[in-house]
Amino acid sequence: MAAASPGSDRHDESIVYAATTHWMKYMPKLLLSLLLGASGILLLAVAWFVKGIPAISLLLFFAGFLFILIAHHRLFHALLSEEMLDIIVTNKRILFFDDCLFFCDDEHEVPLHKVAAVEARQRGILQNILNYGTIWFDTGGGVMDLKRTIPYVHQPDHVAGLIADILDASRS
Amino acid sequence: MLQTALVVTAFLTLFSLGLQAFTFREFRKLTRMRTDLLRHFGGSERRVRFGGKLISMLYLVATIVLSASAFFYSLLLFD
Repeated sequence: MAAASPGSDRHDESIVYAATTHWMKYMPKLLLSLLLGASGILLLAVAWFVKGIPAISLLLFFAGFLFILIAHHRLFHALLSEEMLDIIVTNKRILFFDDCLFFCDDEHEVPLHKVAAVEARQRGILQNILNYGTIWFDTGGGVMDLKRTIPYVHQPDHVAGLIADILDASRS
Repeated sequence: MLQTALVVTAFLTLFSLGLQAFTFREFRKLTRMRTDLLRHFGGSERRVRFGGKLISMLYLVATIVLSASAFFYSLLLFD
């Protein structure tokens, strides 16, 4: 999941950690696509049973095919939108991308010098079993908001520790 | 009935392929931006490119299989 690759560049800023968020991010969209797809297959099956009435059969066939197509495109849209590396930690800032093709292209940036503390949260059975959670950056406001929160982080303790190490190194 | 079914299936297939082309274009744009950023910071972009290509290929194959299945099913149903 993680692709840490140390390196340096001319701007004195280098990647310390780069990773994609946990695969659980796909689950809500995947479940909805499965539901749509299953409804489509059901409609196609019903179309077969009522083929004695061609008009209704035709209507059900198109409805079923349309449902399956929507499920298919929705699923791949989710895969292509979320597949990219979306957490990048450099020695100067933390970048988090929230992409959804055609709909949103958000980039959240937290400069490390503004971060007072990093907090990793894993709530519930699923998050603890599958080892993912939320990372929150305390920049002095004390309130958890979306701009300073990264959801679905794989091994949040490890990532929070890594960022804390960079913070320590930059302050010493 | 068969003719209507085939025409509408063909239309939906073409629409799907068009939508897919637009999605690929948008995805390529996003990939380019991300790889540029990674390269700027001295990171490796190989993983981004590989994953994207694999999913794009699967997407294309799945669309073709789905459309072909719809054509065969409409033939079975209305012929």
